[in-house]
Amino acid sequence: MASVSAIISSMIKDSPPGDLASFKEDLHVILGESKVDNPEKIVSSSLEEYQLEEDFQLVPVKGTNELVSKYNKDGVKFSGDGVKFGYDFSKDKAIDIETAETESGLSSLAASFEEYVSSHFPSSYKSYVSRSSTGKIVLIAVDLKHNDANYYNGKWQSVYEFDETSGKLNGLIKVKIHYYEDGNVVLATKSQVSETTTLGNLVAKIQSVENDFELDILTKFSRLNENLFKNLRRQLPINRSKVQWGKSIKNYKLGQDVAGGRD
Amino acid sequence: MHPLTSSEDLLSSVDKPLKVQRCQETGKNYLTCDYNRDGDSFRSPWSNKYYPSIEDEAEAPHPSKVLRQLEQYANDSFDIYRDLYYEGGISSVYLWDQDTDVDESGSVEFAGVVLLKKEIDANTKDAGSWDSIHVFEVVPGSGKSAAYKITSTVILDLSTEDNSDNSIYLSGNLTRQTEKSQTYTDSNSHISSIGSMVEEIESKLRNMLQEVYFGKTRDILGDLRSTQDIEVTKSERNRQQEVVKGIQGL
Repeated sequence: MASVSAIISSMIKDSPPGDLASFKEDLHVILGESKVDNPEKIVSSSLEEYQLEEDFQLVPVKGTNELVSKYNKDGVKFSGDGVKFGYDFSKDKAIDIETAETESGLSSLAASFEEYVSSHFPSSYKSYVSRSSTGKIVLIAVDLKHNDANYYNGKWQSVYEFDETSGKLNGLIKVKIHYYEDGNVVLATKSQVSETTTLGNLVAKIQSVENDFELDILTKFSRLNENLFKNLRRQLPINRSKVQWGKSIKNYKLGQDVAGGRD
Repeated sequence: MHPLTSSEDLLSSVDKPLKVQRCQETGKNYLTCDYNRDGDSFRSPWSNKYYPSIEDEAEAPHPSKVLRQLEQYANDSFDIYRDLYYEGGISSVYLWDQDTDVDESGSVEFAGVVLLKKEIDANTKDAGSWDSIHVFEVVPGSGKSAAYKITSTVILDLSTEDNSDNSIYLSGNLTRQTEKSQTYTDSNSHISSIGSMVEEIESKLRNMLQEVYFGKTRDILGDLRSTQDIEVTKSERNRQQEVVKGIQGL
């Protein structure tokens, strides 16, 4: 049997965007009834790892959104625009905020990426540009849309690494959408990016990659609708009339695999 | 969302896809759920026997004699429904007595569940499954009128996967409750009423699922990221409004 922490981390991976607080409460209820030692610790360490590595957080710092991810982690703190801050993973808020000089030498790229992100992501967003320890340029866009009034939440996260010398752009776009009016529906999609471009064309390339990603989803949606959904259950029987329930139902000639799907 | 108070709440509020079991006596497949379960075995709607076999079949819960006849009639009817709408898949209906054993008059209350399942593996990339669960109650009242109450859930999973880093999963469920009063003639006529109700509910749910899975999620994706420049879209909209105002002012 899988270990408790493995089960917890797989539940965290499947969790819908938004509603983190109620999700954590549910986990504590489940673990509270189990005989697991120190359940709080299992939840918080799994969540912390997931948020640093895979599901980056937006946190308000001095009135603007800042990012919590492994990419801008600097010691125990995170670096943002002119600030450094700690992050309390259990309360989802910034702590120990201090002003700091954050000069990556990429300010003009950061400005043009910010301009692109602000003109395509209407909700609560953050763009981030920095140089990684291996010398690559890292670009991150995170966007959150919480609309509990209309029963949905969504999150977009794209992360790119650009190698100036080879011109290689690698990245991963991930989107999770949760719709929960009279039910529960999740769209979870991701797409790996592998392109070649120049520094001057970098932001334009990302824009076209992200447009293509959205258009590709729509193409795949129509395929899923036509090839799968429509063949699961018909809208009407092939004779276009509703079933005659009652004794006369015996008059129907069943298909070849009458009675319960013999295989 | 409401916070849970116990893990039992969680288990009972999670809708899991239905599992398939083989009836050894008839060679037919059937669907399993809590309502046909006894320990680790499940009663077949085709033979009325539990599989994997249990030591004392007679001790395990079975419907009363008349209700079992009604259950067979319901299974035959829904098998035709399944064939007409699903063109494949599996259906199973289970009925259970409430306080008093059911008789043929139709005046005794009972309950049941209708299960339908279909899976498709279209090609190596795309896969889909549909599970519907309709739990119902038949409550005969005064005169020849009965109240029918159905709680319906459809679990729909659709996916396409080029590899683990290029994938789309659309999965979830929709639930709705339906109540109706209708006249009946005998116990068999309750099955006809449940049948037409399930047929109508599934058609409605199918439309809702299509709208939510392909329409709503697409709209929300557009809310997250706009393929058009937001400023450009805004100024175009303003310009259109100016034109409309201009025309109205003429």
